[in-house]
Amino acid sequence: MVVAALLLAAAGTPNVLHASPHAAPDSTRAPDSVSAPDSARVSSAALAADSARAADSLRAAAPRPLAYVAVETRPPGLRVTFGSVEVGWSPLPPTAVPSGRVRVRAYPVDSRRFEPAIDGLTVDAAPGETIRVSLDLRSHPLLHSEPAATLSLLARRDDAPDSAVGVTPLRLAPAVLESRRVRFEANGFADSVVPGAWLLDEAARGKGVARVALRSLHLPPPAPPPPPSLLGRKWFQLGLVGVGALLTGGAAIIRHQGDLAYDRYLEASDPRVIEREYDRTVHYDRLSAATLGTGQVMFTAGLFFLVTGIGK
Amino acid sequence: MKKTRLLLALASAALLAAPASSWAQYYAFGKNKVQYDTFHWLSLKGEHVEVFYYPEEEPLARAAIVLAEESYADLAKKFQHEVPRSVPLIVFSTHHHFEQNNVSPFFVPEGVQGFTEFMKGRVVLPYTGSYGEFRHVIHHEMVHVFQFSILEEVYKKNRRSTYVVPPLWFSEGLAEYWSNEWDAQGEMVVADQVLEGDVPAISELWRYNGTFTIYKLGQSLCEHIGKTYGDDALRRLYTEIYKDDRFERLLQRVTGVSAKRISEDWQYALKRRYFPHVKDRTGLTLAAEERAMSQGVNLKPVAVPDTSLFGGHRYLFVSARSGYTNIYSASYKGRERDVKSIVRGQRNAQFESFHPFQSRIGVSAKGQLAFVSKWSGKDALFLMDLATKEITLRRHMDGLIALSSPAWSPDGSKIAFAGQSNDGQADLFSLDVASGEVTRLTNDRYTDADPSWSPDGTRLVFASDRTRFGAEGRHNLFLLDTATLDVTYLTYGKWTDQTPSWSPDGSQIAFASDRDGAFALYTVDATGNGSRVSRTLGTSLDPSWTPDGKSLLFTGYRKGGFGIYQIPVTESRSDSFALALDDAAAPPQWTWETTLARSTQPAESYEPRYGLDLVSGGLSYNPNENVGQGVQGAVSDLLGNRLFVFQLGNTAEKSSDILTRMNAGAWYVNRQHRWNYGVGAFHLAGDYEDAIGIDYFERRAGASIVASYPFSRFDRIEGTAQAFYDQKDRGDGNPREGFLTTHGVSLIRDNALWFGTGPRDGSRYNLTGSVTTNWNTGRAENLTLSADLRRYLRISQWTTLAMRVQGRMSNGADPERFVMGGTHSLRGYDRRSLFGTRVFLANVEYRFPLLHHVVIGLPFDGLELPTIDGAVFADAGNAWEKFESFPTPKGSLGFSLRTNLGGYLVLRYDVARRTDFKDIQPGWHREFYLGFDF
Repeated sequence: MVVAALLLAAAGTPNVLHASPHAAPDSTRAPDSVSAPDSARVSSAALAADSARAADSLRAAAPRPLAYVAVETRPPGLRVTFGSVEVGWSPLPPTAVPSGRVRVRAYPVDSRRFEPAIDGLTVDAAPGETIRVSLDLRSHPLLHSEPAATLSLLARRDDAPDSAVGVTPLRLAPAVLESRRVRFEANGFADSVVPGAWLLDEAARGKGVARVALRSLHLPPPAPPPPPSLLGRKWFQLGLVGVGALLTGGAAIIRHQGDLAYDRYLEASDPRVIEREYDRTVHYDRLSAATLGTGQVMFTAGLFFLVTGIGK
Repeated sequence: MKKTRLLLALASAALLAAPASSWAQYYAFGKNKVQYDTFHWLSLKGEHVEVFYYPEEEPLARAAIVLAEESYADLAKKFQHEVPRSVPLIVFSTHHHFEQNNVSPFFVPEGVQGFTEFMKGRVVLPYTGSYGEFRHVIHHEMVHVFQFSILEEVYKKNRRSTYVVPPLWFSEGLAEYWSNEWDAQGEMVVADQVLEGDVPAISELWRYNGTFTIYKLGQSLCEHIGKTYGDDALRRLYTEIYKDDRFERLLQRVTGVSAKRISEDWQYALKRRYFPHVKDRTGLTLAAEERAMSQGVNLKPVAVPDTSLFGGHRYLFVSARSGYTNIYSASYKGRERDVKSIVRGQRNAQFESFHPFQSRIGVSAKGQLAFVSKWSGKDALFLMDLATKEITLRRHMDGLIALSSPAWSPDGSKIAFAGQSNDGQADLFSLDVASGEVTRLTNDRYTDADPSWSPDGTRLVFASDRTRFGAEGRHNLFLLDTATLDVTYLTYGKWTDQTPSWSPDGSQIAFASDRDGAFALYTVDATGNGSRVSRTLGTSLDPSWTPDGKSLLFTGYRKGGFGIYQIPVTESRSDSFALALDDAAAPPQWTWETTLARSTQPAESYEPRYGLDLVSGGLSYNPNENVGQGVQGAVSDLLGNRLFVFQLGNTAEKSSDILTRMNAGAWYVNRQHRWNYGVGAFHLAGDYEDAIGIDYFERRAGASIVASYPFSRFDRIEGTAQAFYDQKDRGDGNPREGFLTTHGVSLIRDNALWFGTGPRDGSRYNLTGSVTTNWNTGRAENLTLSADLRRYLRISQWTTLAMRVQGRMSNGADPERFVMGGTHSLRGYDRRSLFGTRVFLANVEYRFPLLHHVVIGLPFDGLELPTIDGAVFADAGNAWEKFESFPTPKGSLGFSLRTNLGGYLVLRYDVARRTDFKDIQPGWHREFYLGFDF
């Protein structure tokens, strides 16, 4: 649809596209200030033959109002298209196009090499408006550090936070680097802050790779972790479980003694024996309950510490 | 499943308070859905969608909200409908994290890329490393959101006694049709069905429910309906669903054509499309030789470079032929020749999953196997010496959650692999085996996968969506210089090239590509000039060179299954191509940042929002067949991490008992952490009957704590503690009243493999101990110990020897009594006819298939009988009291028939004769029973 619209408008206003699509890049330097192009400087010669044929067939259609699009690329000298129509080489001065949606493309120098840079944009151009499109297709330098380090872009203002962007090796857009400073951080090494522009220079000299060696702090080996607290010690945890189990078992024995005392209490006829055995029974019952409770608490707690690792 | 069990445990905690039952009575098995990670949730609110995420994956969340809002806008037009509420979209950065979700109580299989839950309309999905796939899945699930929303609205407006639920082929097929172009996966499934003459009619599509096939058959059929009768017909199938009782009649109402006719038209259109393939392509089995073919899932072959190892000329592959996924070795000198299991997966924690559809395996020249496996919540790289079968390395990679496709460098010093980090980013890495140092080779948000080394070790070839067509889900091949990390295009086009493999002499790179529709094998040299290996029917994937460089082992898809094939690589080629970077015809280079820049929503912290999960009446809450009337329900938050369970009922028979016989309980369950725990309070009262038939009244009021800690997917420890006031009256003039506590601990293991009627492989056990103490007397009311061990020995693919040993004992003033007899314990004896405070039981049975896929012709016109399994068994066991001496075991012998009813229930019929181990007693004892095999 974008292509059709372009051709439709071109048919109505044939002198809309830049006259020098195949001119040497240096001869097409964009003006510093953007203004509406002089219609005398444009001609229909730029139209590709196929688009001209298409335009002829659509000549009857009504013209659409114009907008202007200027294109700058980094590096300069790239082939630029509006839709599928080749319009020249970057930098491209403001060039009249039918208003509406326009897909602007610039083609990388070596398209075999993968670059994550965006090489095209779709812009909505209102009638009479001039839009400046800037595409940065420079190679993204690879930032290497020895050792691998966390890389942060330092904030331009003191009150703004720095931005962590990843771990080396990492490719970053030149536009991100050129006006910023970068910090490399790695454990056991001094933080290194270098200007992004320096990294770009290094990358230019090193076939796209900038290497940074971090200075070792020669720090003593990290202190051993603190010993676990008493609750975290295995012998203590196992001890709790063992003692808890013993107390639980002991409670059963004490309880059994209570049962024997109770049996003697039931069988006795001597009031002194009855009183003594009854007291013994109560004593054993209480002792048994206390032992059992303590045992179960210790057993459960020991098991809990063992399984969860809490206390380490 | 773990959560389900925790609920069961809670329920049993309530019961246990009740009455003469102990926690030990509730044998629980099952695997664990482990929350290895604790996520701190945030949300982004869009106009129609709210995304829930954790801070590490913020870029994914921002992409998700942009893509979901795009999908919403598209679908709102297609469905002419607005969803009346904000759509909750829960995003996980990896599939490993996704598997920990608490929205669904079930395990999420690796093949599931997302789901939409009906009750609260939640969409849950992971990022699997591919932007295109992420967009596709979001769009697919958003179709389901609209489907549910329209159904809800239509049924609310037009109430019916019965509601038609759209069949799976339609709901999933439409979601695929409206979210994705027809792709190579569809081509793989549907072309195979057509050429094998298996395309079902609409009325038969249900047979494929639960398989991937239904998605693609459904997509094909929806596309046919959409293109023949207009896409609006698809919408009207939802808006007019209330008008008919059967979906096929609705189809006729909307299209004006019968479903039978639509089926015929669709089948004919498919034949016109795919039959011409036969003319200019060779059948897979004619062009290539079959290697490992058994049981339909054989993937990722790789030849052992040392042809003298294992008797020579062997290859390794991943297969689910046994039901578990294992790594096998076999000889490529014949079909299914000398197949041996090398690494057995899915049975223990360290080999939980080999990701057979995502990850290749690698073998070094020295015979070291490299593979990845999920272990303790994330993937680890494993190295195994194939000669000694010893694991020589087992390593998690710092910061990486998912790993895939380890590839040895030719000198055996390095391993390249793909890794996905906590934030979802998928890159390539290299491990120096000697030093253990890991080097990052790529570092961006593009997906990089399946690296393969050049023979000189200076370059890697890999597949990536960094191509200009990557935003649409396409992958091309790239070369990476390992010194400069420069990346260059090797192939280029609007298709997917994947799984490259560099030939031993370095002259060619084999790969699979869908540039011609279905995936087929191609080779390309390092400058981008290539050709097709062979024009074959079907789909070919995962090529791997044999050591002589003269043939390829690959995965082929045919007749609905994946098999390993071998094809010679000859000089005569077809479909040559050269690398041509046609920039003008291609879209501009894409980046994630373009999408991310469109999300400007501020992040908000997640505040739990609760909604009802279920309410049901007629609560049944006692294993001893006592039933109490009442209601129970559950309320959980949006992420399913926090759950409230409540129940309310009353067993009063007169108004004065209303308070004393109130049954009420409420529990809070937290599932956010690896420790799952629940706390609650209850009051239970009623008349009960114990194991030996004595009636009694019991009332309990107190609080309980239940906790579960999974060591892995297969092992866990569970514990419970309760404190309660208890009144118990057996009517014997000796009522008990006191303050009681109960503690219980269980150790559980389960790695069983299930078939339709029960487990068929693996093992499981449950060791439980519990003690109940009366604090008024200091007496142990009961101390109960139980052990239940089960082992399933696979005799052949479909037959199993199953064994079970159980022992239980209970001591104390009020010991628990166990019952025995009947089909679930000692067969040949009446249910619950044996009881005591001590029991032992041993069962052995041989399980085998009896009827599978039996179809009756006349007079039923192709009626398929349900699958019926058989078993022959021998049981021994008895029960006795503490004061009795060990009794003579009672035994039985017999046979059994079992069939699965609808996937959820098993009907069993046991026929047994008793034995005293001297003679077999006369008389057959028969019993029907509903329940799975032990």
